[in-house]
Amino acid sequence: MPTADTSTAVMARPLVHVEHVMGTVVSFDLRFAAESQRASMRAAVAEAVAWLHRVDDVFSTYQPHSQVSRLGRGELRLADCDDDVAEVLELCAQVARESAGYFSSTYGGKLDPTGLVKGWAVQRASELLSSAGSAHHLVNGGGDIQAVGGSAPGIAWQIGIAHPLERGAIASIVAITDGAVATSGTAERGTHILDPFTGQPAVALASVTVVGGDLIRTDAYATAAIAMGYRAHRWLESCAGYVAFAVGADGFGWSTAGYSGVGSVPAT
Amino acid sequence: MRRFSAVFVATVTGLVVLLSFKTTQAKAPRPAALSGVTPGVSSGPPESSAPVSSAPDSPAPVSSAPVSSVAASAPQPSTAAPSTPAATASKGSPSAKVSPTPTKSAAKPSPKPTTKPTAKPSSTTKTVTGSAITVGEGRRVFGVVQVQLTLTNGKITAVTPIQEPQNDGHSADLSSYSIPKLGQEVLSAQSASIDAVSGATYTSNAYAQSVQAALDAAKA
Repeated sequence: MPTADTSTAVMARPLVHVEHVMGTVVSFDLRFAAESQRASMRAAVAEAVAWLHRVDDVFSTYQPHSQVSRLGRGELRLADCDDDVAEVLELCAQVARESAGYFSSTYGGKLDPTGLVKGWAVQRASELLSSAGSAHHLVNGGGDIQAVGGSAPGIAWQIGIAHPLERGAIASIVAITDGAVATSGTAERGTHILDPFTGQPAVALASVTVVGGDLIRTDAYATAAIAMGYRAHRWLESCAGYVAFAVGADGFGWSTAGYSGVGSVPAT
Repeated sequence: MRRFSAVFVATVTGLVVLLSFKTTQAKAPRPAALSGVTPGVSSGPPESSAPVSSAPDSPAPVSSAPVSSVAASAPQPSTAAPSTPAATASKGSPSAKVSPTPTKSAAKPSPKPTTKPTAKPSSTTKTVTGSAITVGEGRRVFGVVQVQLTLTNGKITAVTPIQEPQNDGHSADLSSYSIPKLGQEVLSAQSASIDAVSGATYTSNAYAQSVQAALDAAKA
């Protein structure tokens, strides 16, 4: 972290880029002090965008010729796929264990690591930006955010958490300097997370937001928590390094003990 | 129609709120940037691959209080300890932490959040016109909406529709329902300064109508 005088830190106009990829939209927001950095930051964004499209090509379950689709049909062996595929599947297995099986890399019996891929890809995109010299940025992949460095030295990013039942409203605001915020739920795409033990859609929670350091697990944990429903609160309390905020399908909510967001939800 | 109205209000509210933030900064507002949002709903690729099941009826007994939106109610600090670190990342971000958010209140008059250093003019009134935005639902396009804001000392004091969706039988419903609600929401949400929105995965189409889209447009 640069140790600039925070009271006088003046940042250049943000570099914002919006990319339609992976069936959603990924927003980039890069902050930097000197206008002269803009060209290199643009190049970094282009690299990150290219990465996301590569991920889409390999992992999409909607493209019949993607490696994951072919792997799922048995037309490819894992050894024939990119190393990234094995890495993601291993992460899926880890998260499945950590969530007592509620996170699953299959959907309807078919291979579908989608629940982990987006968070993983966005976290990698953020790491690419950091490697290219970006000290302050947000990457928001369809509502799942990896944040780096605050919006300026000494100033945390303010992340609004969408209210799952009131379109356009913000249910809570959490401030993070470095870390990840991920929300899963039923708000935007209908009920799309199944309880792997019953095969039925999980409907108890309208949305779960997890805040932590890495987007891979915050995103996957949020998904697992939706599948858990009533059991999610206790489980998330036990996840060291992560805090959570949830809104039930009835509009009632809870948050874990460490959650420090501003809002009108008491911890239960 | 109500759903569309809600979407419409949400979208325009986001745009309007964010425009107002811009104008409180030293830099001049850039309403032209809003044109980036124009994709609207009719242009995106069809998605929604996810199976949609019927709406749930089972209530969740876990809770203790209804969640109301920050914009709609007086926010209060969460019951969590103010400086609890949210832990370290298992990977990547060793300094990860969740810092306490300063209480934001719609009623709070002058002290702006520190994230928005302002060079406030003493007393100015100005109007800002947003770009025209195509709105719709699914493949139906309801029309074009455009609003003009009046800002007094950086606070929105009036929201005036310049163009409203016309090519739909419900446009009267829209104008009577949305615009007053829009003004109300904007006035109460002004202090909710945010950099990004975390929400359940949205499709490309849903993005076009999201607060995140408004944020991106206002920041660019």
